[in-house]
Amino acid sequence: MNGGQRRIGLAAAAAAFALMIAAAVGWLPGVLADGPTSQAAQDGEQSDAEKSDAEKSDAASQRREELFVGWQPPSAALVISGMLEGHIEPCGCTGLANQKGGLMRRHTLIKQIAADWKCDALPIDVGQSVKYTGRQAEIKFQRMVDAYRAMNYRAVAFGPADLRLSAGELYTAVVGAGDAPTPFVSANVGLFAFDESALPSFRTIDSGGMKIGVTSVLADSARKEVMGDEIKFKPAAEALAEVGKSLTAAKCDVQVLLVHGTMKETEGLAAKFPQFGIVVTSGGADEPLRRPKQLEHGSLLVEVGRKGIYAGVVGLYKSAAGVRFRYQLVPLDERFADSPEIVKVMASYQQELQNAWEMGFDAYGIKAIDDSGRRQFVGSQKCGDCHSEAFAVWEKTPHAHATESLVHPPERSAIARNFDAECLSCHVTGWEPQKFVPYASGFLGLGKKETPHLAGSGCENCHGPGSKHVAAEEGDADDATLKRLRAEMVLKLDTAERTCIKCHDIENSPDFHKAGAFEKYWKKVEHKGKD
Amino acid sequence: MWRILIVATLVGLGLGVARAWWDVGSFDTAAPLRAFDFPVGDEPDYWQVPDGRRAKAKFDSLRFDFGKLEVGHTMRHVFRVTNEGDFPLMLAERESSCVCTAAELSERPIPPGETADVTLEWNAPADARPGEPYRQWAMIDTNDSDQASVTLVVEGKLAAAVAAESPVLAFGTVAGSQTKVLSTRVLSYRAAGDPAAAIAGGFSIAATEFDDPATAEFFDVRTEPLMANELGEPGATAGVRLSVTLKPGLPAGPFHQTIRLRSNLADATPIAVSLVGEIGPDAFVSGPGYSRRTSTLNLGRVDAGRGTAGKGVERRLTLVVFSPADAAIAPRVVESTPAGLQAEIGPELSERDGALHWPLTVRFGLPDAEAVPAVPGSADATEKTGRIVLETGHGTVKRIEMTVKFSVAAASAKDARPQPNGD
Repeated sequence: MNGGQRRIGLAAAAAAFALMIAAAVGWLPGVLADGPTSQAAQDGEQSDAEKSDAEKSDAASQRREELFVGWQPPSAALVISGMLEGHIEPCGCTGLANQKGGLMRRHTLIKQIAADWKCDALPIDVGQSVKYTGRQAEIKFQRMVDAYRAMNYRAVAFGPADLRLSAGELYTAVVGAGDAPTPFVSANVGLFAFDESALPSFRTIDSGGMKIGVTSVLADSARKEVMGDEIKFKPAAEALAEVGKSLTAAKCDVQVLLVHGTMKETEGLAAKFPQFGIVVTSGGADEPLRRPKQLEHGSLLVEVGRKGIYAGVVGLYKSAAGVRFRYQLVPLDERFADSPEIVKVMASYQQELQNAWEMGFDAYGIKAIDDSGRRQFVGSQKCGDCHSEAFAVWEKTPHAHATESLVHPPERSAIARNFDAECLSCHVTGWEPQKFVPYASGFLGLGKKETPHLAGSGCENCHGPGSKHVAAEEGDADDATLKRLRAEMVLKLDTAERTCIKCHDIENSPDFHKAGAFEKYWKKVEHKGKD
Repeated sequence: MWRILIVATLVGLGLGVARAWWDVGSFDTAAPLRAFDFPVGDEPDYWQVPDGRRAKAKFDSLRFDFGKLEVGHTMRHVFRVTNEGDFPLMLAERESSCVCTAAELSERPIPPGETADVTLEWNAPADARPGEPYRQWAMIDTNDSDQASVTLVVEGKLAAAVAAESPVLAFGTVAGSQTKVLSTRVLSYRAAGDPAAAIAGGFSIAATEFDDPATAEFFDVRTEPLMANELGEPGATAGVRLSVTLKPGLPAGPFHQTIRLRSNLADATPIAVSLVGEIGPDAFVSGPGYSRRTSTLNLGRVDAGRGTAGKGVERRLTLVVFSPADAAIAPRVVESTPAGLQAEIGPELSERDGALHWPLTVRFGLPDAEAVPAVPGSADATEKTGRIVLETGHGTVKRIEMTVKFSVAAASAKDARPQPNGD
């Protein structure tokens, strides 16, 4: 080895030594803070609560209950759902990994069953697809029916909220204009009239060497929640007696009854019509039974819970002795990827909302709350002119970026939600959170000619509109007026929780409802009045 | 040589600190490390049970029936678990059905022979449905080889001191000049013997408040006591009929009002009844396939073809006109195009809820429907459009212009639409 080679060797050894030192020093904190904590530390914007959720989610996903353990591929599988109540997807407010449900995951489950077991997956639904009335609910219902068709639903029942939609729009969505049959069936509901060609009273499905008969009823208690004479009803028991005869004549191997009603009504109908081997109810607890209840006469009673968080899978096994069942309650968690077909439906739903938005509030079915003559919204920037320290705190909170999180959602980011009134109502300034309507002086859009200054969940969402307070401070109001208007803007900490909870509700912000949560959340936005 | 070593050490330290900074941030900004990131002394990992030993979890019960839970209230139950094995028992919450169900349990090992508590706390959200079952669960992982996870269930029935039979009064589409009354029962479920139910003068609504004061003047609220035989719900001990009158004058468009009702039961949570609907025009068409929002009648597919008399299509709609009963109103069809599209009003007339109702029958039976021009701009040549114009005879809503959409099936095409009752 000559001198030059020695120098090169020494340099290489020195570099290697330097790297060893660097590795020892640099990796040490990584070793101490291994796992989610160190990852979270790299993400400067992630709050403590979010880190905690992410950690829990990671841990939970590794320990989820294994599904379909010991199952043999069935002859066919019913995929049972219902009570979606408009929850077309989990809102994502607390991270999709922490929320269950949604049609995108449901479709993936349906496709996986068909692909893995090489049998028909037969989705059926006990109804209440939407929760509200009005134009947005109609658009949502129409898109949900599109999704039911894409998922090849074989039977969908009605809930009372579905039947409170405008009857003409309901009919158009249910019956459709093309050749495809409606996915809906009902033994006792007619849209304007009882018409088998538009809305069949039952359906038979040939699958896995079996004939499966399905019908649905709206129980008498649910019927009371629907007014108007455009929707026609028959008493549930009377209608089932009639349809039951047709199903018997069809020589079905399995008969399925979907009951939209209370548990008591469902059990009563199941006992009266024991020919239905599987009875699905919209009644029952939010959290469905993990195993179906076996009724006295032998039928299986399946619950669906609420908000489409779960799907129940009934494996039907055809044998010489008849048909046997197996059941698995499937939580629709992040293990199920988004189905591209339903993502498209979701995108078309948001696009239609945008179209309606651009045509004006009338087309959207929104009527702004008239706040003329009352305090009006001025925007957080205006508040910041005097309350600069409080404004500086707000700017760094997620509240300030609430609208941006709809324009560019952190998850399912291809679909913006900034024309969705159900999202906007808590992500902008100047809307009524639980009614999905704006005040006339509230946020109307991000365009330059609209109200970009009301983007984000601003100061006034908690403190109330500031126009009179600002006018007084900038004008020549007397001391008493100034004092009174200042007092009107004060939100005391001991009552603030009641305001926060309008958006941080159990559905969108479940962690806010844990003991001591308010104090933790307050720390993140803590601010004082004037500088 | 030493110089090289010192330089290399310094370079290494510099790179290492930079990497650490990049990974974790400064000491000020680094996230606090959780206690369980560090090993706790020399305590062994009790989740690994050695051969021949067993942690045996014996729960006093796996299911607790709490009876009744009043909506909006919180309950707790303590499940007791005893380690009947000869190795420390470990418990960890795997997941719970809902964030409203919280499990508290010891993260410390439970020595053989000792007992520990697992506490479940749960609450029924305010929008839960009284009278329905309530159920939540929490799944607990254990190091008991015979039961790696245990599900603890709490269940019972939801109850409410006071509840409305229909929490939503849906008025549907109401004409601007129409008065409409809807009612529901507001029931008390307090047992007769409950001191809170002992009210002089019986159960009543003490106060009503509207959420939106701007439209409150268009609603009248009336309550009247119900007799025992009118309660109609098991468990109800008293009640009132709540009638809400929607008066004319609300501006056109959707309305969404909420009435907050406070009963004279001192400790009962106030209840809310939503009033929803839409104020529409004084004359409109209603029926299958007709969208009032777009004034479009969708006839679907029309079977027709050259030289054949296709089956055609017929829709029975209703023309509704709100008008004083003595007004002489005679609606008529003034246009229906293209040829083959027919609209006919009446002749029967009925009167309901202050409105005149005429049957409006729309038919399309052109033998050669393919000759009808396609919808301009539509990629589908089978999509056709027509138009019907009615004169209503009403003073302000004088005309209704309807767009009619349909598609034409080829004459030879077999009916592809599946039978309604079969796949």
